[in-house]
Amino acid sequence: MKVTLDWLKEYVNFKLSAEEVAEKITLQGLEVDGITYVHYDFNGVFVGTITTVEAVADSDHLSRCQVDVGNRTLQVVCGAPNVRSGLKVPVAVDGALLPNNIRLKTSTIKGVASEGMICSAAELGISNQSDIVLELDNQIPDGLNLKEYLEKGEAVIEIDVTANRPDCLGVIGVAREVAVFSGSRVKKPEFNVRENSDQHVDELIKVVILNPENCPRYTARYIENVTIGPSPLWLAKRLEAVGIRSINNVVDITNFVMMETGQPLHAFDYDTIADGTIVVRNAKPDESFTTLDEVERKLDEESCMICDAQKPVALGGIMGGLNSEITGSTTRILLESAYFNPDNIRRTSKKMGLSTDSSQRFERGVDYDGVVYALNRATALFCELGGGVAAHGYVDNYPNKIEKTAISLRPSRLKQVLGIPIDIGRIEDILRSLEFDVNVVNDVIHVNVPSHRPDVSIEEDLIEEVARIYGYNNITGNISAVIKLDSRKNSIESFSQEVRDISTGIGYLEIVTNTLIQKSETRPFCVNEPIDIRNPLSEDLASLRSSLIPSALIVARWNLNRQNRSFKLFEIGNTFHWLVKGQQHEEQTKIVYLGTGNIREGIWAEPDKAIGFHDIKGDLELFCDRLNVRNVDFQDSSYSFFDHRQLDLTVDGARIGCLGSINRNIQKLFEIKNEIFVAELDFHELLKHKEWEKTYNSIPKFPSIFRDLSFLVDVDVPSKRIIAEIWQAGGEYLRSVKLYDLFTGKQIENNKKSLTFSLVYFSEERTLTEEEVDSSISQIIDSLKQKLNINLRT
Amino acid sequence: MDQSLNDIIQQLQDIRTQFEKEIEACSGAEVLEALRIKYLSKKGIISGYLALLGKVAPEERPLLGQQLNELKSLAQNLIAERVEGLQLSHRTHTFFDTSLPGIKPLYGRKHPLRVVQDEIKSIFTSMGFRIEMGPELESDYYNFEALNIPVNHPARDSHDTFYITDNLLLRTHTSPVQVRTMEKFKPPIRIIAPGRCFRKDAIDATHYPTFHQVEGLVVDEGINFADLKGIILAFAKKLLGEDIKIRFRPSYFPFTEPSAEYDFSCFKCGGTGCRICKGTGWIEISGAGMVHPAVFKYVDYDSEKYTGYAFGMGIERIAMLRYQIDDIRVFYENDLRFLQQF
Ligand SMILES: [Zn+2]
Repeated sequence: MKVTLDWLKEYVNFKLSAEEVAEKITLQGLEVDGITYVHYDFNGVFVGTITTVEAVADSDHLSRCQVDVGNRTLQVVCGAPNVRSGLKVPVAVDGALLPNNIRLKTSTIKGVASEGMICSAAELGISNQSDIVLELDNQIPDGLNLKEYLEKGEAVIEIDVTANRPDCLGVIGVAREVAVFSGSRVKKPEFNVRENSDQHVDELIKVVILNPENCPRYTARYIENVTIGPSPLWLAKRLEAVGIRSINNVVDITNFVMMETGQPLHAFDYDTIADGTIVVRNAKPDESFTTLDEVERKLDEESCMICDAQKPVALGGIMGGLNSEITGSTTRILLESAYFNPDNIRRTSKKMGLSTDSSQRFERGVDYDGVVYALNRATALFCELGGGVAAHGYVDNYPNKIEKTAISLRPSRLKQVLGIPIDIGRIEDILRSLEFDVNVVNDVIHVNVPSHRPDVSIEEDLIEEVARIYGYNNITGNISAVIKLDSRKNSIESFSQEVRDISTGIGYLEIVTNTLIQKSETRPFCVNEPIDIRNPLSEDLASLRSSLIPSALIVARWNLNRQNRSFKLFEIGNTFHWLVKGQQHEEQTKIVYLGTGNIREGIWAEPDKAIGFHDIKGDLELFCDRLNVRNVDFQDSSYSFFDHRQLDLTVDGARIGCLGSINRNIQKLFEIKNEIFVAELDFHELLKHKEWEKTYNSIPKFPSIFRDLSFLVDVDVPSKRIIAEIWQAGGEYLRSVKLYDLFTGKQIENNKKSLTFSLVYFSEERTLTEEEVDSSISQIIDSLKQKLNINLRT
Repeated sequence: MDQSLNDIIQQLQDIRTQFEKEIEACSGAEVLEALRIKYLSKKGIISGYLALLGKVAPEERPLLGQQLNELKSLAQNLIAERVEGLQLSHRTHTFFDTSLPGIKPLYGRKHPLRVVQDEIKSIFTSMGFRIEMGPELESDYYNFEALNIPVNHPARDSHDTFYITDNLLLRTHTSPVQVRTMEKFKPPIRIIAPGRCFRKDAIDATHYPTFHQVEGLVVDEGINFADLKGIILAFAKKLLGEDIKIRFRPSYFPFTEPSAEYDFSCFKCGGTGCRICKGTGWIEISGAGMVHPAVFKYVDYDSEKYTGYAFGMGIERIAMLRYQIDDIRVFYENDLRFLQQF
């Protein structure tokens, strides 16, 4: 919503600058988006008066005009039909600059010297009117620089009006806010409607409301003898300043009154309204209607239609119809000013995808008592600026009168909510300054809410009204409030912190990625049905990720394409899928790890050691260990997005995640050439298996005995099986088995590998003897020989 | 036997003195080797005396043997010591490049959005707030209706919502956690709820379809607007320093009444006006207000007994201001050269 400083001054007295007004209304609750100054894109145009007009020989339309521009008289040749002696006009003189960089020069037309140009509004960029010259008000002195005149004082304040303040979608509403801090009261314009007392509106217009729930009030007037033509400069200029194009006097007047009062109006060509009858009803099933914008719209049974005796003529409160619009030849007008049900307007506007200046006001709730004022204001202007005469009276069909909201405000409640007491007299003053009716009985303030404030409906609303005028910044913050601790523990939060601390500790960079993703990129990772967005921003953000792996791959691709080749990344984030499509969904929190490139990029000591499968596996093992998640194991898996290097991670036998190497198909899909390892864990499953308590295990008092054993093994025997067998055969004092060395190669026969294990023995009760350990070792060797046919390497 | 045992022992002592003198003066590996040959080789001085051992009286042999062994091991030890010393000093002479960069262990970093979020969380937890969370895929009921934003409410216009079905949507703010928390617990409530939100905004330097907020909610007997201002002020000071000022402007949210927007004094210019605050001296942070009685009704709280305040803030916005980041997209690109700065 834009207002100009000059326009505000029509209704309220104040002496502040635009910047000062902006600051004050901001602190009163109207958010100012910015202040701009009206700018016209021309120069060298002066106000002049035509003194004589003669026809140019050899021309059927050109005139030779003498124009008094104050200090001199210019001869100008002009082709416009409305030039006449005594007319005040804008004259572009030699060297003038017009919009679109047109520079004017003196010229000779049909043998007549022309020292300038009398301009139309279109030539000056003021409106679309191009067939006639712009007619200026007679009071403007000759010789005035038109640009300076137009731009003077036109500071435009743009306000971002919140959804609760339809009153401020009219300049008078904003003026009311200005009146509060400038200590004055708003004066609405006064006027007389020129009526023909012989003609009564009831004989010309009949209004029937069939759906009063959607149209509680409909008022109308009849105006005849209207001449459609250009608007006067003041009107065109005022509308242009707030961003509305000047079209013609009738359209401009309805827009002007809407901008002034916040009440949308609609003017019908009376001659298109069958029987002068308006029927307001809900649309019929499958009814369709062509609105002013030439779009045929399909209606539903809740759309509120304005019809005549035969046909629909407007989509009520939203847009008029093509069949009844004002044209250049219109002379008789049926003017509508109504109150439509806000919910219904909004519903229809949403459904049609059609939001207009009109619908935006009706859906927030217009001033139900201001309907007639706006009707009369526009009628008076039709008469004044369009030469019209109104029939006597107006139709006011108002089946169920809307009563003013009555609320009580207890000063004690105000103190409870705000934390400070405000004097009852001050409360009264504030509410009165906002045009509330106030009546105090036994220290309770009884209020009738003015009809232009539909947002005020409960006691708290009044408290806010008082507080915002009292000044939020005059309420001192209470920084010493007694704090009642909310001591309920949040284990999810602390677990999440721990996960992030450990992950960064083992070298992973934390990333934050978009939840929205391209369908094709999430599909390969989705075991269940993925969830798509019904109204996506674009095709590449049309799905919710069902796994964090594609998100991490997108980040990997971004970096690989920018010469960042080695990195480890992690993210904690949510994933989504359907359990029952369209009905039941699941949202899960996952942790993703991604590693690619060299383990220690940029480290001179070991430059080329690439991150491998077992690095990521080791990170996961360490990670689980640090989290105090026990009984971690790995199982074979068969994910279609990994190559043969892949595993499930299990805890107590339950699957909680996976790790593996991205296969070629996925690499192709994501346009990645590098080898990439990823792991994904289920956050809540992991949390379930975390042991929060730690108890101390005493350190062994008796010395340990260490032994190393090397075996020669077929390459396809998994180390895990051998370790399991060693544990099995090792006896009660075997405490640790670790793979210490693995090698293949020249010294070893083909298809064999050498594995060296480090074994640790100890007892908590006594020092073990070498013989006890020797016997365990020989049992291990025997057992491996028998069960796996594995021999000690000699 | 022409020499007495005493003479021999005296000679051995002289040899020892001489050896000590020579090894003291010895300056290189070659000289040291020559010394070893002179004293310890088969034809060396000490070996010569060993040959005498068979010629002395049997009763004198142990003493002489002991003396000779002592001398021999002394010589051996001293030479070995010197050899080692020479090797060490030899090493300091070959170039050892101490200027090579230190070998750093790999250490990850937290994402700047998380760093800021962590800081906000720790400020509020230090003031007795607990952390709550809610789903990102939210129902219409929690995202709108129970927050006093019924169907067809114009305030829905400012929430460009991504819908999955008629009733299922991506939450447009963290405020649904208010309702979920009040459904779960009775007052006192003192929580913050950090989390991800979504709006259907075209991507540009200040808009991204996903972003993060922190919601705050305090409900108890005797909670009021002055407390809200107090907590925001305390937060601002803890986040940005003692000199920071706050400003409240009346605003509108359907789920709070009275409602406010709050600003911080510009932490770049201190309030005199600069590019960051667009000359106003204030930086818009977010919205706040007293919980609307209609919201209490949805969760069955007695609004005559309990009052509460709620506030929000945008993590991206605070992170952008703090690190002077001028394009929100960098947070979601996750370029290493960006991540490694935090
Ligand atoms: Zn500043």
